[in-house]
Amino acid sequence: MAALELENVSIRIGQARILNDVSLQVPAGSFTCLLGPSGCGKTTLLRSVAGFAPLSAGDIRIGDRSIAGLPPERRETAMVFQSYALWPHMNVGENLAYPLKLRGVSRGERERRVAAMLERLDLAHCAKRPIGALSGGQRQRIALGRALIIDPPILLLDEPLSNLDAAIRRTLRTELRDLQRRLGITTLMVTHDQEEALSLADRIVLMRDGRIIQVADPETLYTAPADLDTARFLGVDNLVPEGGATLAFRSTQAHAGPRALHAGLRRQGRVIDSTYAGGAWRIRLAVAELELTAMGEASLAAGTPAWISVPDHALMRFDAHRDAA
Amino acid sequence: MTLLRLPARLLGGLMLPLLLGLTAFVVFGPLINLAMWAFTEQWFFPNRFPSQWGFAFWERVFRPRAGAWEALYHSVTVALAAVALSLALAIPAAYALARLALPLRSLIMLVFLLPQAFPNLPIFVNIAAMFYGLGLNGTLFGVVLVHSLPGLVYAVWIATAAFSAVDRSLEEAARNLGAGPLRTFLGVTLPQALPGLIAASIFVFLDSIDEFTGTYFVGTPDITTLPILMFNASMGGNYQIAAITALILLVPSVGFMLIIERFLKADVLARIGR
Repeated sequence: MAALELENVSIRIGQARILNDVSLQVPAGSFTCLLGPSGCGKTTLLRSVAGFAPLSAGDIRIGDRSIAGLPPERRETAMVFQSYALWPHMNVGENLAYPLKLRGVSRGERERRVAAMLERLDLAHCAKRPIGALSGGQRQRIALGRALIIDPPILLLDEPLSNLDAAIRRTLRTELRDLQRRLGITTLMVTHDQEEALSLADRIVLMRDGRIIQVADPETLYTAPADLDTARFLGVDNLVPEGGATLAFRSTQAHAGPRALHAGLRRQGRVIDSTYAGGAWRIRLAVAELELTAMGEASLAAGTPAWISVPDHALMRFDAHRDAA
Repeated sequence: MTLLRLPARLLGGLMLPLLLGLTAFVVFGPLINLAMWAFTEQWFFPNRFPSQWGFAFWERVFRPRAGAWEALYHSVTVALAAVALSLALAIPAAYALARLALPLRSLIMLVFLLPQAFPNLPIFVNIAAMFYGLGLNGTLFGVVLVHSLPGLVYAVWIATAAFSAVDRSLEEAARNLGAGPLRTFLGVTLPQALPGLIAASIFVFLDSIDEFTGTYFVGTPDITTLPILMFNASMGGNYQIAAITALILLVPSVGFMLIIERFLKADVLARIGR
């Protein structure tokens, strides 16, 4: 059953169409990522669920209850903001307790639940600290805790990890995934980072120009993108026109060397240059009028002839012909 | 090289104390003169200093019938009421302005400043004429209204800046987690804007304590504030009384700032500029 359902949602601001007839079902307990380039409408979609972006048309339902007409405070969707939006005039404990206070939870019960949440976040020693004294990762966890403390039916995450450095981001990514699995909470997350989406989500909603292009599990999305633009967004960097179609593949899945391998696609060309990419060499080849990139075990001298071989399973075929440029 | 640089450095080293001294003289010179007048009993023209010092005039000022106590009471009451009225009007107005799109906001704020651009004498004369018709002349309420006019401009400008600086997502987080619009304003927006609002009330208070022209046209002779008392004394040649009144005028101003400082921790005040 869909925990959250968007039906023909459109949002127009003046002449601009931010969202265009978007329909989406988010299954209960799933971790769904909205992925797309900046300006594709993914953040607006998330904000429309929270009630911060009024709809021009369509409906949003949680379970079988329509929430499209409700003000944000009555939607029961808990959001984690990109800036965390922790209240600087309250300390950590007060930030966590405020949503409970708004729900009329008694003082004793509030203290108990805040302590339990801090324990779960491994931040029990931070209860009395001002927000300004926390590190980025700690702020992120407190923001998550503040959202989860009300046991919301839907958790909304707006690029929650984008302000953190790479190491903390990896740790928190794992933590976030574990927490979501354990609580079984329906989660909708916005990200522009495909690696994040692929590793976190059970379902990815790929968006472009205010529309949903593809909804798929990470592996399907990665291996069978719906169209050429999607493929390019997902790191497919080689395009070979063939008849009226285009063959596309990732350089990481192609091989370059002095000899051709047994493969679905083989082309001979001349080496433009070789750069070391850690563990292997990234080799650029001029093949007829095309420029293709593939990985090789060894560096090849510029100007020498070489073969590029792409295995069948790495090849994607797109019917509408488009230029690589 | 170092020898050549020495005079320049010496000059540079002297410049700062010299400038500081000059500034101090410009700022504090008149104040010293004023302080001397406050404790003078006799001071005739060619003398550089008073020939006789004493507290005789202090006693005269604070005599029950002299009106200094009443003037002090009026000044403080009017200033507090002007702060209350200006902020009560400025807070909703500034919040609305802060949430407006920028070009429109700038325009409205500029229009708001317009009355301040006029010479204020004709404005006060006209206000006095209007108040006369309304029966507000010579009442404390009338004086409070007149003081709130410039006060409101300060308050709206500073409060708008304070509200604009409040991160929108802080309010959204409160709404998202269950607070209605009013609760969000009181629980999140207002505490965030508080340093700015405090700054605004200090401005309004100090401006009101000092205000003369409006009080003169609307309040006198029924309402006497300290500046009016000072003016009357100066016009009558009572420089001692004028000087003593001026010193008394410092008391509520410094007191108000001390109270504010007590209530606010330094870190809150430090955020005013942000």
